[in-house]
Amino acid sequence: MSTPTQRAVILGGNRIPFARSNKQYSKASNLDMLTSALDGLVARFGLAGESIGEVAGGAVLKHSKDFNLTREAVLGSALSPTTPAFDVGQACATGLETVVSLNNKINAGQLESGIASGVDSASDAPIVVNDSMREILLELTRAKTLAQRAKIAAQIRPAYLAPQAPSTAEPRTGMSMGEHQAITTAQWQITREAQDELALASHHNLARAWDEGFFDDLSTPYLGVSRDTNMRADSSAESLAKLSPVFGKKLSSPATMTAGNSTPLTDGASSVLLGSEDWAREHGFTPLARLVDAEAAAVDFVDGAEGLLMAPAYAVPRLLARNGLTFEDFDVFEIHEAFASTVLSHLAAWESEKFCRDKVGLDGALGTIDRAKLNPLGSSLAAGHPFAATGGRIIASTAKYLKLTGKKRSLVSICAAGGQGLTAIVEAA
Amino acid sequence: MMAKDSMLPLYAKAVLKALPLGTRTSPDLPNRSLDRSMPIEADAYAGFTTVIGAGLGNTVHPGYLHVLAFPLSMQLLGDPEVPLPMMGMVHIHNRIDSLGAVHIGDSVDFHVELAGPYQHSAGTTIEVIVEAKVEGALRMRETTTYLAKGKKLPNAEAKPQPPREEFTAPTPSALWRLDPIIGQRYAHASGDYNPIHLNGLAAKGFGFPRLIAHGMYGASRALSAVDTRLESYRWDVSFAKPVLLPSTVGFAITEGQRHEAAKFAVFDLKSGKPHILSEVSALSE
Repeated sequence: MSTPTQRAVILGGNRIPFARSNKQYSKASNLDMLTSALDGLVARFGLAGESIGEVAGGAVLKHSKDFNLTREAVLGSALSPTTPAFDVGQACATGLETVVSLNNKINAGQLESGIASGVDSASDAPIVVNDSMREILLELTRAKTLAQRAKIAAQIRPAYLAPQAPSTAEPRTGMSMGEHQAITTAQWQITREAQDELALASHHNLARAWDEGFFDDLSTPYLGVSRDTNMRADSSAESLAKLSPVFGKKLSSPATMTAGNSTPLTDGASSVLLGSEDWAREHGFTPLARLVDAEAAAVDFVDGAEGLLMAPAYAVPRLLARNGLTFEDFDVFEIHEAFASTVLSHLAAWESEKFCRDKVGLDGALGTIDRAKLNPLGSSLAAGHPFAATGGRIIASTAKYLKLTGKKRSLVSICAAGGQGLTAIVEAA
Repeated sequence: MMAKDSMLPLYAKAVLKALPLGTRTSPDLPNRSLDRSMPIEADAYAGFTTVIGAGLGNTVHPGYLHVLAFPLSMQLLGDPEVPLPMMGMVHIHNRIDSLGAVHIGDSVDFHVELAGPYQHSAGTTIEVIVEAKVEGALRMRETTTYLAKGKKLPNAEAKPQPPREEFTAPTPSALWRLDPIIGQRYAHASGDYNPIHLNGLAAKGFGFPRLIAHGMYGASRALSAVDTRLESYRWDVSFAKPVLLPSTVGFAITEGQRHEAAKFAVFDLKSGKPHILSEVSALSE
């Protein structure tokens, strides 16, 4: 029996297959994809016309016109238009945070049902004018007379007309996530072979899961795509070894991060259905799992004191301590593969007595993760990573996996831009 | 978004002065100073913070006080009785003692005077001394050192030069991607329309292969990155190689840490040579 504050359960999920950017979904907007993911969920659970407690969603690459993205997706979906919605933003942790916040609202008794969701398009990305042009255009809107406008417009130079393309660079460092991770990779001495091995496992595990029909009730085909397009079932150690490094080429140690062991830019959307146990029973839905706790962490990466994507290495020990658990108590580890070396850096940190003692404040190393339990359904290296959609992909998959296999407990960990990380414990219901 | 005083007439005068039109009267500096009160206006200040990528708060970046005093400095340096040509003078060092916050809306009383000439191994230097007061209290004292390369004056005073520091480029903690219009943008925000920042041909005329970024742009941006929280501090800047535009340069703190006393550098990613070496240290009163 659950305690009164543990009434929320995970009931299922739906995503559209993820596609590499500028391919099949290049003309689809965030709103299009999120609406499709929601409609697939609504169809699967027979929720058409139903008013859901609240829908939470978000996108990392977001147009200013999409200030109410999730509510607009609800209005365009088969859900009742009286379903409220809100947008969330925590970079790549956005999707998981939508699950955590709705889960907590249900546990608090504020909601009976909720849909957590996330979407990202790297194809239909916002393009903005550069800062000089933007300043001039804003000045123009403030000008009152024709003479003032003419004077301001005269400042426009041809160079100002070049648009500013979106980038994954950290605002405070100007370095891309890959450039940041390359430094961490070198610090933890993660080898090229280890990274390629992890990438290979990701492709093979994901391909097996698709072949076995695992995702049949977790996905709905979209625009002719019925499986994740980044997945390479025939990937081999040899083919991965042939790729040239793309990040860390300016560091003194050899560059090891390639397009094969880094996630590509991806388009996609995901959703997760949550409800109270009572709501699930009334609707005849079988609970898959419950999210029992979550922990966020952040690191000061700005001067390079800690690696940009290392926050989960701090969040997980705190989460385990609060719940009185060790790695031995987990059957599954779902660690988001931003880069293969990100996962391997986290594993190395947890195995390091020095890191755990000096930086986390433990007595010794946190422990070693059994690699057979790591990302058994593949992860972002194979599936791709539409930033805000990744959390929903992982939660729905791991919840179903626990139900299907009779296993008990899963640890979910997602690193995010800005030196953040969000982690959670999911238990079979 | 534009600074009020255009410096164009001053530069025109300076160019004229650089031409060999007869001899100057005296090798001494004219004994003059300038005083001017200027309010800190939010809109103009926002133009500065936007360009250097600093946050817009109520406290004024000391680099902006340099900008406000700059026309006065140029007016003094451009005086026909100054025995060295202003055009071609190189800004090699800048020291600002920040003795307390200056805020948006404050009226700042500037007092600017020249010091020198001083002997330098590569020529002769002149210093511009700026004092900024708010309601009678000294908030900032700045010494800007300009080098007239290859020019020697018989009466120049001896002055110890700061030792040249050994520099080994660290792993950059940030990359600055500088496009060519950063020169125009900083010129708009600061009023410093020196043509070497605006026009490739002009830059070539002064011996640079391409446009170069304003030194104080990089210095001010680096100070923002360090984001010091010290109440009163000394901010030293040494300008090594100029930053050519466009380019991507590295930034890193080499000693100390963000928000506190620190040494930091802007450097070339390929050669590892420094563009700007800077330090923030606490001042005890």
